[in-house]
Amino acid sequence: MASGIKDKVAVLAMGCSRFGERWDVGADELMVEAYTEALRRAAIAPEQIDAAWYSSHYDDIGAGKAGTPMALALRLPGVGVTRVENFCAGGTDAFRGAVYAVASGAADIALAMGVEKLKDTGFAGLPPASRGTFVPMYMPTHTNPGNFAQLARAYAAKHNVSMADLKRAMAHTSVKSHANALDHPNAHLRKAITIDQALRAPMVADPLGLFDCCPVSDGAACAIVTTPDIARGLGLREPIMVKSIQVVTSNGWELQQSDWDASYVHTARITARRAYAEAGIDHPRQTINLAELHDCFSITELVTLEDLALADEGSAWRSMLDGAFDRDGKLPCQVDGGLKCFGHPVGASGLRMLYEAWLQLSGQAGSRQLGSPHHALTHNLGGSPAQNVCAITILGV
Amino acid sequence: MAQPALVVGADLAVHPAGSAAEARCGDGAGAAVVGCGTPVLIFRGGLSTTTPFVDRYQAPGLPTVDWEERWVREEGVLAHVPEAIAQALGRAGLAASEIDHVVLPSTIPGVSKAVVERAGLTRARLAPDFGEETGDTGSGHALVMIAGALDRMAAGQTLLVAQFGQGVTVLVFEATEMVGSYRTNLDGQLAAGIAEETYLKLPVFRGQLGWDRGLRGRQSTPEALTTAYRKADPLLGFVAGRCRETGQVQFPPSRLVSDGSGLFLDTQEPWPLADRLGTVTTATADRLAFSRSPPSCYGLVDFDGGGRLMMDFTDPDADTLTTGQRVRFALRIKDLDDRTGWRRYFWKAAALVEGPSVAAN
Repeated sequence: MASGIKDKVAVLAMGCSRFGERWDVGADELMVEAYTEALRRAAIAPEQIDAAWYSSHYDDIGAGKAGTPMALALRLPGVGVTRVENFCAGGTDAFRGAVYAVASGAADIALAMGVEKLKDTGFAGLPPASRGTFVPMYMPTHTNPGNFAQLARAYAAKHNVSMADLKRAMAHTSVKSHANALDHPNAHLRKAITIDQALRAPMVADPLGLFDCCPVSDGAACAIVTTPDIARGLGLREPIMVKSIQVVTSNGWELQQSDWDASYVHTARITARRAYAEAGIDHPRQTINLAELHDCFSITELVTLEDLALADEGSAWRSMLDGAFDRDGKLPCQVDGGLKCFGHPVGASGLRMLYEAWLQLSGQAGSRQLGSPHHALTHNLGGSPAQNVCAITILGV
Repeated sequence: MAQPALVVGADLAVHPAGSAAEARCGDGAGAAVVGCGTPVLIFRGGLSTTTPFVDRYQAPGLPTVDWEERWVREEGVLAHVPEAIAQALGRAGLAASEIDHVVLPSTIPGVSKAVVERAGLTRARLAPDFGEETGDTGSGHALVMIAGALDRMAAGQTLLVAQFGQGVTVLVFEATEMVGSYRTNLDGQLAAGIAEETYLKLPVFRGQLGWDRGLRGRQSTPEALTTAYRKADPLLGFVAGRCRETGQVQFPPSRLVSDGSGLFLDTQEPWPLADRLGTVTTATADRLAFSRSPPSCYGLVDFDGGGRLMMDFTDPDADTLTTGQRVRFALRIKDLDDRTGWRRYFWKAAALVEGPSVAAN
């Protein structure tokens, strides 16, 4: 049994650009916004960065898929940049690369950056998947709302929840995130909505309506990680430590065998078990003070709460309606607005979640600050419920 | 010794919007097996003639050229068909008055009745032409109408089939004892029809009307011909793999499989899915994904006997398919690449309609 990553690496600083429909900037400028903030907070020079990981899922215009766009944008001085693509979970995977580099002793200080410039496609929603050679010959022409809509139908069928009740719980999920994002100047959607608005919204993929879906955003976020000793040497009395990073990838079981009932995310359950074990957490509901979940769709947040054992199976919809995951609830979720309202620039989202977790744990969240939290969890999901990459990170004091 | 043969007639009608041909024609197919087994009909005689009488003309991708119906009726059908019928009856050794049923496809109203009168088929009943149900299905229509006639024939009765088109073909048959118990699937097919009231779907589906696909619909669909050939069994045959060690069924098949307890290499044997049925595990009607007939309906389907697939749903009621519903599978067009005209096929799930005639189809 490996000893795990717990307490071997500290987060020195983080940065995050303003998210949104950034007609004014490209991916390079988004990265500069996040990077300069992190550098300033870390109080280090670029020359001190030993290695870098770069997560960007879609952009391969001109430069191809390589580490060069990041090195060019940030003018990194002789730093090796590894590019990571892992659907929407790429941001966390870039973070994992940087953390592992520091933990191995190969690097003292490493940088992880995620960025996505999505508003150059000319239409709403994510770009259609590129055409491979075999899979498109039999898979439906699908979209992500369609993939996750199936999760909602299967969840309702399994737990015998009426669609009206589930729609109300999904509406509450979105209303809560809209309210939370009002307090963050860098969030994409800063506008309150009502339950009624959410329920009456146009249907996108049955049963998911417009307000059940997160927006498509431009944005970048980054982390600078180092050893606990170096962090203390740089003046951090109580550095924020990495307690766990786990990634699990589907191997075809869900989509090809009939044991999975489509009402939950199989990889999320495995990832959560491993993450709690790595962090030494026996009672996650008592230990985790806040969660940033991959709420690409309202139903994903509800199902994930159960997959991560933060709610009993079949009950998250009811607890959501009771306010358990509101900002003043038992377990505040998406305090910054989440994917739903802070925005979802694919390759950056995992790092954006960590950014809020880090701000909260280090007491820098301003008007959003939730007392003195000691453990924060981020859950970053790439792909569809049936075939995906699931990444969970736990940070702690 | 006669060799068995399969005869198929099929047509997909493309006619100018608003034309009489568009109103009178439809898509359809008929098929018959001849030369083997216990026959329902015995061939008594017949003939084919040719004449350089071009009444309509259509080159691929170009509009139809028609001529006046009165000329086609007088100088074409009525001038040639009765005479060919007389000759065919001579070969069959039958008098005109001995014919019980007539199949005579024609898109021109009244012309069949006029032929029957002029040919002296005094006791013959005209077989239904399904003008209201399917319209004239072109090269398949004689076979479709024979199926209709069979359902009303008695043993020993005679059937005359005549069709005009740059000449005449006349075939004379006699029904055997088998005809009493023989039933085609025609009634089931007609009953399973669904009325579509949105006319614009027809010219759009036929490629006759320019329409906005949206940015998602403009992506080309390149075909890797190498992959299509290598994977022809799963793609065209809908053949999965079944592990002979564990019994686990998997689509698409793969060399290396796992059932959670161990890895197995090259243990999968072909496992055809096309004739099996399935059950919907979960589904959606997606209004964002590109579709020629939105919403795009798809979901996870579990096959009877094991295995599952996320697949497209088809037929007009696709958006009603939901968890627990039973489905059958049909080979349909999966993608059409407008840039190259490439037409990709794959299997789709369709609601299982109770009743053996349609289910077996």
